[in-house]
Formats: sequence, structure tokens, C-alpha cells
Amino acid sequence: MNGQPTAQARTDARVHDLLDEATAEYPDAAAVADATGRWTYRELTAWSHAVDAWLQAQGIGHGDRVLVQLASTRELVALLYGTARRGAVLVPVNTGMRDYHLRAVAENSEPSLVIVADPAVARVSALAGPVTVLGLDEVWRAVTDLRDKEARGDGAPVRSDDLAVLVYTSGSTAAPKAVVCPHGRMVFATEAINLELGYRPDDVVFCRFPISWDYGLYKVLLTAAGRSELVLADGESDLVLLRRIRETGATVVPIVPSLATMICALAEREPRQDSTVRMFTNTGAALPKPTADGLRTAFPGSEVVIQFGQTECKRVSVLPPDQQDVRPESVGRPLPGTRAFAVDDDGNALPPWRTGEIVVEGPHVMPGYWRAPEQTARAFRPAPGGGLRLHTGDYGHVDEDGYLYYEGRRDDMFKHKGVRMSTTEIEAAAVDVPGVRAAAVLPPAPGRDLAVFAEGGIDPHVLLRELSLRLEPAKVPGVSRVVDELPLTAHGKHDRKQLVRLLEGTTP
Amino acid sequence: MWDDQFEEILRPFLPFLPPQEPLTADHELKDLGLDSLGTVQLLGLLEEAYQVRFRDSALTMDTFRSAGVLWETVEGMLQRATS
Repeated sequence: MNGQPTAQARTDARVHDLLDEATAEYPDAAAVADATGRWTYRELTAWSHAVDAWLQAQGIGHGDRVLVQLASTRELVALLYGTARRGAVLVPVNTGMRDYHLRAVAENSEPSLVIVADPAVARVSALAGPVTVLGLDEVWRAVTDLRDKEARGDGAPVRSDDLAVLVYTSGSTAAPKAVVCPHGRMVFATEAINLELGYRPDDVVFCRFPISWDYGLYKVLLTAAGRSELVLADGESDLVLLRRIRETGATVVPIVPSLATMICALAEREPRQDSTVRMFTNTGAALPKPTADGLRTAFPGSEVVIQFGQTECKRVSVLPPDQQDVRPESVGRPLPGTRAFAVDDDGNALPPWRTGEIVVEGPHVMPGYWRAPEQTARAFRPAPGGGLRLHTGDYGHVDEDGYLYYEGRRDDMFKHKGVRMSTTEIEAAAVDVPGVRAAAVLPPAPGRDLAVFAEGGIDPHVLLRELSLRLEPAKVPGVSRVVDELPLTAHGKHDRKQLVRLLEGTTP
Repeated sequence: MWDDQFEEILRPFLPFLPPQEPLTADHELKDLGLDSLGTVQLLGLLEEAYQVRFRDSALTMDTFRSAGVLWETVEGMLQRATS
């Protein structure tokens, strides 16, 4: 990881090329394991062909969306590659996504087919409209028959600029929106990241994150690029996290700060001298130094790699471990073959140390949001030198060597428990709760948890419970206050300074 | 029924439970707002307060399903320790 990598990531490959290349090179190496078993690369490839053939038999063709709300198991990995082979578009949504959002995602993505866990078929059918909704068990019986026959799809052409995945992410509006992810850009991002991280054939990558989240999704592609083994640990009890990391012989563990805190707490109660982990890779939010130190102590010999990014380009930058002491505040350098820098309000690049919006250019910048031309035009603008320039909405600066420093945002977007969200969507969910007349949300800050303020006749704890029925767990605030009247500014907006004072109890 | 110390340790991890509302033995702790990080922290606090150690077989989400089940587990360890 010393010096800028000289190899180059490809822009013209397809997602399933990564799998096929890994299989050609290491057919009998472990590809993916979950709680119930493990597949080699050869086996995963055979399953992905069977999925392709099955999708074809269902009438799924080029560009059709296949929405899946499934746990992160081997079957989902096969569905990802099989859908890619078909030239169809996988729309993976979090199993924690509530009906309230799922309905919006189904309307927006207009899937031709929906696959969910069997007990959810009736519930999802009711909200997804006229589309066919199938249970995974039933689907998998048919796919298994096809795999036994070594079935394959008809090999209809798939190009690198065809869409492979729609990744739904939180936007500045209440409704979820999707980043469109074409094959070529996903492969470029994967290979560029791997030039920095260097996944290898002897790596076992322990993934606690769902494949519906791009952090988990790209672990599937990165392990194929590295010819490594992927261990899917989402859905297992976090109480056994540490034991599973040790049992599986994990060498790479992707984290967000809250997961790192859990691992450290478990390691304190069960310390051990030996460890197979060589690398923790962080994203989602800044990793506090005591947590990073805690990981290195609990896993002797491991290093912690800091990363920074957003789904719109997958990843902006990676900070190599040898730079951490030199630039402890940096979030890293742009991926090889890409650019990232700060600009002023007119889009002019700023000199080092001057704060501006961070913009990103390169083959990893996705082409935009699905069916949202206005939002796309705002975030994805023509770059002066050709191609697209992603306006991240993140503010910061670069140093003389081009390393990035993140300072914060100026809109209502923020991250909580590693997940991106906006005050707007939480406020919208709060107002949806009976008894709430108006609501305001304060993003978390150092020493202050994510907080919701509501006006109306409701108990603050009940409000949180109601929000937990409408939002994924990470989006439920830690603090809830019910007030007689929400403070407003002279412009009629939520007076967040006044809300902070309410929270700190300085208002009588 | 559990002792006061148990409820004092548990309640801060249940943000959806109003303070004036009683904690019942079979209410799902997850529905009261217990999350994974909270579960891991709760494990450490209970072990420290009661000077017990949860066995690997007890490290499941089922043990942390409700206050009743969780207290039974703690109580079982206490009894083993004193007998």
C-alpha cells in the first residue's frame, strides 16, 4: 500500500466478469460462506447461471428490475450475479425497510418481479401493486432444479454501460431515491478500491453488513476481485460477533464506528493474544481514535484503514495506514484514476487548505439518480474536462499532496450509525404518527445524540416506538422531546439553535 | 421477579418505554428500543454488576428477548454461583 498504485482499474468490464475471472483462476477456492454453508467459486458460478436461466424463464429481460428484500445469504449473492448475467437490474432493499418506504421504492423502481422471504409474500404483494411477488424458498427450488441440469441463460448481450443495480439511499427529500449503477462503473470502483486495499486470495472478509447497503454489496465484488472468501454475517447475533470473527479466521473486517465499539466491548470481556485479522476498513463516519486504538490492541498486528465516500461514486478516498500518523485528520487520497477536490460556489478548484464543496470526477461517478432528473442535474454536473462531476454536498479541503479533509455538510443530510439520512425523512415519518402536529429533527453532534422534537399530544417514548415502526433502526433518534410549540426562526424555519438549547436544558 | 438493580441497569437501554410505564416480564425488549450495541453493552454491565459470566450458549438474541427471560438467565447463574 506504499505509493500510488500503478495498475489501472477497468471501465469496460461487467459485474459477472469479476466472478467468471475469479472462477477461471481459483475454481475450487471458497467464494462465499453464510451461517448454513459455503460455496466455491465454481459452485457460485453454477448457481448464478441457474438464476440467469430461471429469470429468463420468468420472462425477465434486459433492463427489467428485480426487487429483492432478502437476508444476506449465499442465495442473494447468486441472485446478484445471475441478474447481472441476464442484463436485468437488481434492486436490493434492506430487510429492515418498513412498508412505509418499501411502497415508495416499489412505485419508483417499477419492478417486473419481487422476491422476498416466504412469510412476507402476502404483505409485500398487498403493497407492491400488480407485480408478481415470490417467496425465496419457492424460487430456490426451481433454481436448484436448473442448477442440477447445469442450465444457463441464452447469453443475451450485456454491455458495461447497462445498469446492474439500483441502490436506494436517503435523499434530501422524504422519499428514498436510487443511485443508478452500471456494470462498468461498479467494476471500476471495485478495482480502484482494491488497488488501495489489496484483497488477496488468502483473505477471509467478514461482512456484518447487508448486501442491500452498498458497503455490503461491494464486498461481494471486492472479494471476487481479490479472489478472497466472503463471510456473510449479517443477521447473526452481534453477541457472537467476536467469536464468529475468530472462528471464521477473518483477515479483513469492514466496520463502521458503532460496530467497532461492539467488537471492542466484546474483546474486552474475552481477550486473546492471537488474531488472524490483518485489516479493519472503516467508513460511515469518523472513527474515534480510542476505538481505533482499541481494535489494534484487541487484534495485535491489525491495521485500520480509513475510507470516505458516498453511493453516488461508491468511494471517494482511502487513507493508507502509513499516512495515518502523518495526516491523522485526513480521510485519504482519491481512488487511483479519479480526482476529488474542493471547489468554490462557481465550481473553480480551490487551493490547498481552502474550504469548499468536495467534488469528484472519474469513471466511478455513477450517471445519476433513477427517474429523478432534477436531483440528478443538481448533483451530477458536466465536468469542465468532460465526463461528470459529482457535487457531494460534503464540505472540506485538500492539502498540498491532494489528501482530503472532511469538515461537514451544509444541508439536512447527515450520518447516524454509519447510515446516511436526512432530517427531512425523519420529520416526515414523525408527522405521520397520529397525534403529532409538527416535528423537527436535530442531527447528532459531538456529545449529542440524534434528537426528534414533536408538537402534539404524544408521549416522547411512544413517539420513538412509532418511529421505529416507520423507519429502519439506524434512523430512529436516541432522544425524543415533546414541546408545546416548536421554535421557529423569523423565516418560519425550524430554529435549530433554539432546539439545541432545549436539548441542553439551558432554556428555563 | 427481578431486583431493583436489574431494572435500573436495563431501563436506560429501552428508550421507547416511558419511565412511568411498568416494565413487564414478557414485553419484547427490541420493541422497547434495545438495539445491538445496547445488547452488547448491557451484557457487560450485567456481568459486572452480578459478577457472573454468560456462557457462549446464552449469547443469543433469545436470551435478550424479554426482561423475564434475561432475568431468568442472570438468576440461574447467581444460583449456580451460590450453590
